[in-house]
Amino acid sequence: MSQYKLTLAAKAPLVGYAALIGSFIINHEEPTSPIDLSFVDAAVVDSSVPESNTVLTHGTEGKSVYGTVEVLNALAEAFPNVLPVTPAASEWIEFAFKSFSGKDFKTLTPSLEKLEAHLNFRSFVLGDYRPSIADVALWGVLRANAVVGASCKNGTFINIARWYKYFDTSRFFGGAVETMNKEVLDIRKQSKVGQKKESKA
Amino acid sequence: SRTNRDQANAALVKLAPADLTEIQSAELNQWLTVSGRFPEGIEQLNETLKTRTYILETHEATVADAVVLSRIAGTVKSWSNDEVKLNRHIVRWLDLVQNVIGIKDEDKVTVNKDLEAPREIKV
Repeated sequence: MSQYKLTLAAKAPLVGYAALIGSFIINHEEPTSPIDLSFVDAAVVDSSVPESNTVLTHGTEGKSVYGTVEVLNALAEAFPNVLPVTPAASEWIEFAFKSFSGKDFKTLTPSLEKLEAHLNFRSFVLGDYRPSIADVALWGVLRANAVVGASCKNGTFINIARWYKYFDTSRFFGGAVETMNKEVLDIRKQSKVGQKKESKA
Repeated sequence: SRTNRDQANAALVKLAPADLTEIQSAELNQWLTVSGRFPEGIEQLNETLKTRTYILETHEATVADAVVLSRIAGTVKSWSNDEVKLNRHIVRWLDLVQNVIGIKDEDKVTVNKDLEAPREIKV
């Protein structure tokens, strides 16, 4: 039985992919698959809450958490065995959202350079040779930000491109985004069908 | 000798995971041959690892990573900082692989992950 419901707004300026990926990983690791995923084809989930691009609701308590980084942190707190947060991870999560949420290249470039240098001798962001919540936060926000997306892929930043591709081809990262895109496409198709029916009536 | 090496490589191919694609299997064969000729081919290895976390572009280490590591670790150990910077993608990969395939600590090559290296520019 699901305990949590995660809702993402597909038209948000910065889609909450990091929370989506975190949920995919938790659902894979936890036998009960505790997080139900749903999507809305709008900029926000709740029109009365501006930061509701990402919403996590606890099934029984009914309390909601708003915003991608807040939801990611709430998920990590609820499932510390799946998404452990070390102080270093915590710093990278903060860095990820602070540095890569904007769309101005002038401010984005120094942050990309910092990440590029960090990945000179590291395959993953934290130094313990496996993907972590730091990769989830960084990859999620880079994937969501159309301005940096291109330079992550085309190899302007060589190390970032290698790291980015590793996760893009992972079923929990790129795979999660693909799943979401398919479902959103279905929602759009259905709403078009609905509109046609309405106009006929 | 050449024959011994070919036989050893053939035995290693049998240890490869069954789910390698045809291209990955071909590349595995190629790397078994190339790594037998190191130091010739080191530049090619660095170029490959520029865009790949593991040699065959898998999500986990394969026999290709383990064998090539065993054939280059001694060389990497002898590298100066300048050589490390020049071959940074090999060093990054080697440090990952030696830590995920369970090389004993005393046999690991020490890698300074914070070594400052100028940003590489795509050519």
